[in-house]
Amino acid sequence: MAGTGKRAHPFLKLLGIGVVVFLALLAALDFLGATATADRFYQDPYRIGEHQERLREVAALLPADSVIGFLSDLLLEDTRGAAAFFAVQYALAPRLLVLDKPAERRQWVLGYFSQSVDLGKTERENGLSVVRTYGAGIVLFRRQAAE
Amino acid sequence: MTGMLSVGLAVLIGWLLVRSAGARVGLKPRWAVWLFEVALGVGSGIGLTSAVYFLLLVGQIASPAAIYITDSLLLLVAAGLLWRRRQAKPAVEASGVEPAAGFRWNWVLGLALLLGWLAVVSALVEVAQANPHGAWDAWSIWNLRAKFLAGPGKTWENAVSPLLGRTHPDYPLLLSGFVARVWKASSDTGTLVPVVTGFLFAGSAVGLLFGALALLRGVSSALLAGLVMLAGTTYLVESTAQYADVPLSFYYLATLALVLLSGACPPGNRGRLLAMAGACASCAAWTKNEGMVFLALSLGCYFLMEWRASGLKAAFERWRFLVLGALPGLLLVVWFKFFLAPPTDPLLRQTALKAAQKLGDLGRYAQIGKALLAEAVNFGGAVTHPLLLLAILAFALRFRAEQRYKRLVLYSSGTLALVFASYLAVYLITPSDLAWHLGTSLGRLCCQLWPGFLLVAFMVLGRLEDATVVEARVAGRRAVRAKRKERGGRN
Repeated sequence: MAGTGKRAHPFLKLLGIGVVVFLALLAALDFLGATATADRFYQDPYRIGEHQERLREVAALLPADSVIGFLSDLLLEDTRGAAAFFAVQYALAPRLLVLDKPAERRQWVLGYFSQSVDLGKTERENGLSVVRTYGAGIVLFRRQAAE
Repeated sequence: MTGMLSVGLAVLIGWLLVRSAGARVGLKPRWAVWLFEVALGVGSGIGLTSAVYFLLLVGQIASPAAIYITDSLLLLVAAGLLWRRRQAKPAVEASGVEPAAGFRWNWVLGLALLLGWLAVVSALVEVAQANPHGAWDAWSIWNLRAKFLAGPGKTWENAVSPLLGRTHPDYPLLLSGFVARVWKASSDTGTLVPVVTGFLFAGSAVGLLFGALALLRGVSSALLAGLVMLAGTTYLVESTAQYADVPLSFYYLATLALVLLSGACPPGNRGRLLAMAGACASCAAWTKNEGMVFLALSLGCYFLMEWRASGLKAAFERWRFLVLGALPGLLLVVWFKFFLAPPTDPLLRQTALKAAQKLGDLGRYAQIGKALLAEAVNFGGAVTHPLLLLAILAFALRFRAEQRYKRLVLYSSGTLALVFASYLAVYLITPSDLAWHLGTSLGRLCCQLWPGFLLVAFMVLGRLEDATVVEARVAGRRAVRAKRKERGGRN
C-alpha cells in the first residue's frame, strides 16, 4: 500500500462517513421532491405524444418509403418551429420529412400552420392541391403534376 | 410484452457470453463477480445484438423472424461456450484480490444506499412517465433514427440519409439500432423500449461500478461510491432523457473497470479481461462519435503505460488482447463511417485557418471555463453536491492507492483526462455558436465521464477496510499492553 498524508482520527473518519451518508440520503430525497414538482409542470413540453395521435391518420395515407415536404409559417431557427418540425418528423417516421422546396417537387407535402392561412393561395404559390385538412393547422397536400 | 422478451434475450446473450469468457476466476467476493457479470452482460448483449441487427438490415433480411432466429443462434453459441468453459478446469484458481476485513458499519451504508436508490428510482420512474418520449434529442435524433431502422424495406437507409441535415446521420447506431431491433421484433414502436433501455444502461452502470469496486477495493468503497452516485442528480436525470450519453458512460466505465480488474486477476485470465475491455471500448465507438476518441485514446494510453512499465515486447503482448477485442466493433464503425454515413459533421467541414483563429481567441477559453464551472456547480445540489461528498471522503479516508493498481489507475485517469481535454478542444474550434454548443452539450459530456471518474476516485481513496484493520491492530496492541501491565501489577 502506498499512502499520502496522515490518517484521520477514527472519530473524524466515522463522522465524515456519517455526513456523507446523511448528505447522500438528503440528495436522494431532494431529487424525489424536485422531480415530483417538475413533472407537474413539464409533462411532454413539446407535445410529442399529441403529435403522434394527431398525425396517425396522415401517416396511414403516406407510403412508408416516401419523402414528405414540410411547409410551415414557423421558422426552423426558432425553438417552436424546430420542435414542430421534429415532432412531425418523429410522428411520420420511417417516412422522411424535409423542408419543402417547390423545385424538388416532393409528391406529398404536409402543411403545419400556427395561424389561419389562405389555402387557395398556398396551393397556387406552391403548385399543390389539398388532399385533406386535419384541423389545428395541419393540412396534407399533393403536388400537382408539372405542366 | 414481446418487446421485453427481445430485451431479455439480448441481456441473457450478453450475460452468458461474459460468463463464458471465464474472466471471473480468481476474483472475490462471488456475489460481486455475479453483479459485475450481470451488469457487463446487459451492455455487452445490447451492443452485440444492436450490431447484428444492423448487419441484418444491410443484408436486407431484417424481420421479426430473422431477429428471433439470430437471437436463438447467439443464445446457443453463448450457452455452448459457457458449457465448454465449465468442462475445462480453470488453470489458476488463486485469488487475485486480498480478502479484506469488513467495516463494521457496512450494514448502515447498505441500508442507506438501498433507501436512497429506492427514492431515486421512484423519482426516475415518475420522470419517465411524465416524458415517455424522452428529451429533445431522443425524438429528434436517437429514437427517430430507431424508427427509420425499424421501418419496412429500405427505410433504414433514411437513418443515414444526407437529407437528415439536422439529425446527425453520421452518428453511430448502437442505441438506435438496439431500440429498432426490439421495435422490429415486437412490431410495435411504443415508448416502453427506449425508456427501459435507458434504465438498463443507468442501472448497469451503477451495478458495474458497485461490483468493480467491491472486487477491487472492498465492499465499503463500493457502498460509498453508490452513495456518492445518488448525489449526481444531472447523471440520474440523464438516464430518462433516452440519449446515448448514459450508454456511453457505461461503456467507458466497463472498459476502465475491466482493465483495472486485469491487474487483480491471475495472469492467465488477463488476456480475456483485456479483450472484453477492448470490445467495450469499441461499443463506445459504436454508440457516439466521442466513443471513437475514447477508443483511440484508451488503446494509446494502455500501450504507452505498459511500454513505460514493462518494455515494448511485454506491452505489445498485452495490448494485442485489447486490440483484438476491439477489432470487430472497430471494423463495423470504420465501415459505417467511411462507406455508409454522409460526412455531415460541421467540425470537419471548416477550414484549418478558421479553426486556428478560434484557437487563438482567449475569450473562448474564458467562456468555456465559465461554462465548465457553472456545469460543475449544477451537477448536484448545493449542500449535497457529489464533489463535496468526495472531498469529505478524501478528508476522512485520505488517498491510498494500491501499488499493484497504480499504473492501471494512471491509465484510467490519463484516458479520462485526455478524453475530457478532447471535448474541450472541440468547444474551442466548434463552428457552431459556442454559447449554444456549451449550453446544449457540456452537462451531457460530464455525465459520460462521471461513472468512470468515480471509479478512478475510489481507486485512489483510502479504504474503510484498511482503516478497520489498522484500528483493530492498534486496539489489539493496546489490549496486550494492558494485560502485560495487569500481570506486572500482580507480580
